[in-house]
Amino acid sequence: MIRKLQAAMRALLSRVLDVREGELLPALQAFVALFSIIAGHTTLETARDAVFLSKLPARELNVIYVVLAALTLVATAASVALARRFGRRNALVSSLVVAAYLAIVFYSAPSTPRAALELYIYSGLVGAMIPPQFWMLAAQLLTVAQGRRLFGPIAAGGVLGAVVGAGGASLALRVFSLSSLTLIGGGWFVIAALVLTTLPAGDPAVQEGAAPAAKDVDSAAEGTSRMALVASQPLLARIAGLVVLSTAAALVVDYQFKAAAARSIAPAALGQFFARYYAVTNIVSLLVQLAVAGRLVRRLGVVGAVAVTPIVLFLGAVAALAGSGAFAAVLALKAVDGALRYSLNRVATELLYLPLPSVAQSRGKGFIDSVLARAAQAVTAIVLYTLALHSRATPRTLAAIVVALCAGWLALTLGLRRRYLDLFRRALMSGHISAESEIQELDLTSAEVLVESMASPDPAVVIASMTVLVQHHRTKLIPALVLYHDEDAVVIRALEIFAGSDRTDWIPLATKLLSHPSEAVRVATVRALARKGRLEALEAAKNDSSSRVQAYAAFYLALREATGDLVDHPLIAAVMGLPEPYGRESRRALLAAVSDAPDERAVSLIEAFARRPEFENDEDAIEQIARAIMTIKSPRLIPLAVARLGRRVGRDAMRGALMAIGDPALDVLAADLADEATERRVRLQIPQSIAEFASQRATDVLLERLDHERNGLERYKILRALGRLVSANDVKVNRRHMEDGAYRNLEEYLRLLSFRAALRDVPPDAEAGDLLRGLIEDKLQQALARAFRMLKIAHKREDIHRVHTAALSSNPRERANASEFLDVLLARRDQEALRELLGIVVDNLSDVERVARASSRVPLVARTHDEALALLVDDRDDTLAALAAHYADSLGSTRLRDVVARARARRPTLAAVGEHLFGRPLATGVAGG
Amino acid sequence: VVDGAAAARIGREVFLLSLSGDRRVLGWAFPRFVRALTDVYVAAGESVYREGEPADAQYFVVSGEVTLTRAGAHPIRMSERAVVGTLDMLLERPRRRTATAAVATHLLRMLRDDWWELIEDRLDLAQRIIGNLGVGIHALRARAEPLGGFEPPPPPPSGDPPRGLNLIERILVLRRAGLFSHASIQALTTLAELSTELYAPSDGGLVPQAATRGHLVVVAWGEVSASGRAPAIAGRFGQGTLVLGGAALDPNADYELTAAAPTVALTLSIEEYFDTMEEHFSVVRSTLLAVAQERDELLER
Repeated sequence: MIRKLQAAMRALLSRVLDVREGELLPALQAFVALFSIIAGHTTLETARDAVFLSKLPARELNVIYVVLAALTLVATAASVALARRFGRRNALVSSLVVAAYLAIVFYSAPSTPRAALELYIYSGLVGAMIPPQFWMLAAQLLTVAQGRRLFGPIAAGGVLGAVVGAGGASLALRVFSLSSLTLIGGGWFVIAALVLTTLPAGDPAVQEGAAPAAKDVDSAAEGTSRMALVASQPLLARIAGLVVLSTAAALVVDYQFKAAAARSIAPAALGQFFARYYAVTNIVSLLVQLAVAGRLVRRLGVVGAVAVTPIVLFLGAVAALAGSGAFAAVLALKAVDGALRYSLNRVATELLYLPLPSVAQSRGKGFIDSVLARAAQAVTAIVLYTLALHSRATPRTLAAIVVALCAGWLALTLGLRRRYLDLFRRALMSGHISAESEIQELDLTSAEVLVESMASPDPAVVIASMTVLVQHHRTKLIPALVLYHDEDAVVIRALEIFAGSDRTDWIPLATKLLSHPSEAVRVATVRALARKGRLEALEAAKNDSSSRVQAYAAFYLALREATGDLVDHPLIAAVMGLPEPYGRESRRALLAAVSDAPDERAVSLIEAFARRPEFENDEDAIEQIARAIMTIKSPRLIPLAVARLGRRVGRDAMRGALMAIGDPALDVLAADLADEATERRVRLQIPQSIAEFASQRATDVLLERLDHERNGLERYKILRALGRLVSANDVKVNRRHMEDGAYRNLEEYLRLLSFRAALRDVPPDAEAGDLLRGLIEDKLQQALARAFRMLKIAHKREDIHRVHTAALSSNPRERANASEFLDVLLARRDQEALRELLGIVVDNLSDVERVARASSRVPLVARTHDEALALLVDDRDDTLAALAAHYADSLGSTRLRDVVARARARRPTLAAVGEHLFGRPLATGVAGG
Repeated sequence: VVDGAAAARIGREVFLLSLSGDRRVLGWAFPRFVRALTDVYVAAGESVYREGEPADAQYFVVSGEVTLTRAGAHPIRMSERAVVGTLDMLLERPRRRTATAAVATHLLRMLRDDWWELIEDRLDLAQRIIGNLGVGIHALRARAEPLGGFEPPPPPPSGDPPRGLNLIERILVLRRAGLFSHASIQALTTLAELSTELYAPSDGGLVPQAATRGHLVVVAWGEVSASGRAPAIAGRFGQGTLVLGGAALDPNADYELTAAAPTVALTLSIEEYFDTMEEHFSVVRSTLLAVAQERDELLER
């Protein structure tokens, strides 16, 4: 019975408040703790305001504010040290115990003006220290995503505590004296402390981000380092600005309110007035918290929600200014402040802290909430006191100050989004590949490193160093003397590099290599010299003992003599007709010559080379063919290059050749991509080949094909290629179009997820069922990958890949960061649906919970095992449908058999696919069950 | 302008190119590889990682030497150009050994996620790594018994072999073989479609040329004997296994195959298998996982 009740309560909480598995107890504990803290503080507040205003003039409040600010600094330093040493929970419990003890002391003290002053300071210190301590603890316990859902309900505990505290104070005053309120307040603190002891204490070192020990840092240096910390974190600096301005605005409104109350209400009635007024405003605040705050945070996001309070307060202050500070207007302004400050504004501001690194969070928040807020309070109090002394603190002036402060507050919220987003970017990117330019300029130190590497005894290092110099466009730094290197591989690579450069200083040294003992070096030398137009090298090559060198020279001779197609020249024909294996090396040399001195008369010869099986898997040969195509640029060679894309060997080189040909090649690629009759292995390579063109036209071709391509794998290849193209080039893509595509893929993901959830109990020995689940799993991953790739194309400057990785992480904090990042990134109205679907996908939920949340948004979501099979049998993917039909048949359920029979009748291809898979008609399965 | 970071990057470029030998292997992804590497300098006696720690990265030794130790096991020394920590990273398990710098050592660290991301973009490299691992496993198998050799197979099944396997049955056969066990169903479907069924009665030749070169052979039923030409080692392989295991990925593996019992097997050309990787990255993952596992087991012998 009790279990049923608990389950029902969990279900209710899950539906209404979005409290998830394992979150109920800590959320409830935090709720009760905050409730008790705020109830106690509100009770004390009622007592202190009534006692103070009945004993002292309102002007004296400003002196109190300054004293309070100074004392808060000391108290906060102690509180931080306490947290660092004993942990956040223990620090808070200690503060509550001390507060409760002092409440008893005040209860037993005589009611004098001095006691009124001390009570005010005590109550102010409690308000300045304990709620921030509580929120620091909450930030430690919850992730960003949990905070978004649970800070609202937890904060409602605070607002409810304020209502109960003020209401209770009002009732208590009918029976007991004003001083009894301090005792009641102390009682609430004891309850809060007891509840908090049931929460985990945590490891102080971990909580405070392994900050340096307090004893090593003097307080001045500590203050400076905290200020530097705030300055170094753009988001923290903004939050600091918000807190400073909002604190100042709150103080002015409070002063305005109390001064107006002191003017308009008799001293004896002040206690009841404050108690009732606070009770009413707190009820409004509670309603805002319960009915508005959560929705606003969800709808506007954290950053949008932060702007609501200054906007409303600004409008209220303008109204008060227009009404010359009339009592009713001031009451309304204070009511607005009271209703929003501790509900919506508190939740939104606390959420802003969550993405900060733990050190920035613990040290920065403490510094802002205590030191900066109190300093702002002190400065404002001094200004107010000065105004009051000179009788300038008129209601109108005060309203104007509030208008100015709210305008500043609002202005600060404007730049918040970018900084908030930056923080998630950094969190998601932490430790991974950063985006930077592909090739950087060489500086002096780098050049020194390379020159040093050139002297390495390891030839691989020397070759690598030369290649790096070429990649950085510093070929001139390679000394020509490297041609005297002992290793043939080094000499050959150097000749290759020199031949491709505009240098000539190496030529005299290279000429001596024509008599090098290594045949490979002689071939490389002849090639390098020939590419530089040194025909005397070819004369020498004619008489070389190596047939490879001779074959190379033959091409140049043919080039000089031939008037028509080179393939018909007798010398060339002779080399092409040489038998294997002797002929192969000669033909390789001939091909190298064609590649080094491309000529339009060699088109047929290149085609002949490409047709020869001996070069099928010869990477060097294919590269040479590609290089020749690249230079000749004959459209006749395009089909040859496109066909070679289907082979792994030399594919990159062929892509380069197609790019060199330009638009005619792009036309052919676009046509072949659109033609489903194109050989599959070639077609799969076309998207990336088109992407290499790196132009708007290439982008448009891929985008157009993406919309029409029916094959899933082909679509995925197009997406990958498009992603690379867009990220590296300045091309335009319709953002909404890509986001719509991402939305559709997320819908598909959630639909498939419903199948996975419904079929989770399929026994592993049911082979057809097991394969069906495996196929669903494949498609799930692909749908999600497509969705994120589309998002990446729509938002090219964001590292969506990292967000995708984080979204799949088992670490709830990483998932929460990804979720919040996406939520802030997709803040436009037209992105709302996408944002919601991504929230369901990325949030830390079980499959069943995700499906339940998606069911109202995504069509064709399955809820039961049989429903899933019925939908799968009708799936547009033939293999999936056939497997589902086979598995459904094997279960022996009459209902499912009928479903399969109807599907077969509607869709004749189902039987054919079933036969292809199972080798016989569907119903006679061998792999089922 | 003196810029240490730029010089360090250049050093990484040189190292990477000298390591890969052929600059075409990394191709256009070269700058991404360079960016994915982080310099790590470890003083003599300090650890690079400790046994039991999560294996989220691998390390390339640029200079110096690293010793891998574990209680009760022989220490392994890794010097320049060696890659340390790859097996744990691939198998996604805690570190099996502690890596300590024997002298002042310069390493380059690459995180696991970045590694997979780059491999997916550059399948040529993945295939080269797979080939190298195949060569390594083959060399380990070629050691004298008990360190080398192949595991004995279970007794062959009795009865008549099922000939004419349908596509689903082929998928299931391939899925049982370690090399493909983590491939997606779509990938297995493609591989099953590309495979050819072989049948041999007892003591019959299995492949027309009776060799494995360029082919993968998975035993669906029965038992296959493999006899190597160079190195001269032999092994028997039972139902659901890949003949030669990871050693079959050595491009030079050349074995004569005969059926030791009535046998049905599926054969697939390595070229087609590599082509399938281009369509289905899960085949790369599955292969790397299987060969890493096998290599680890052989090293642990």
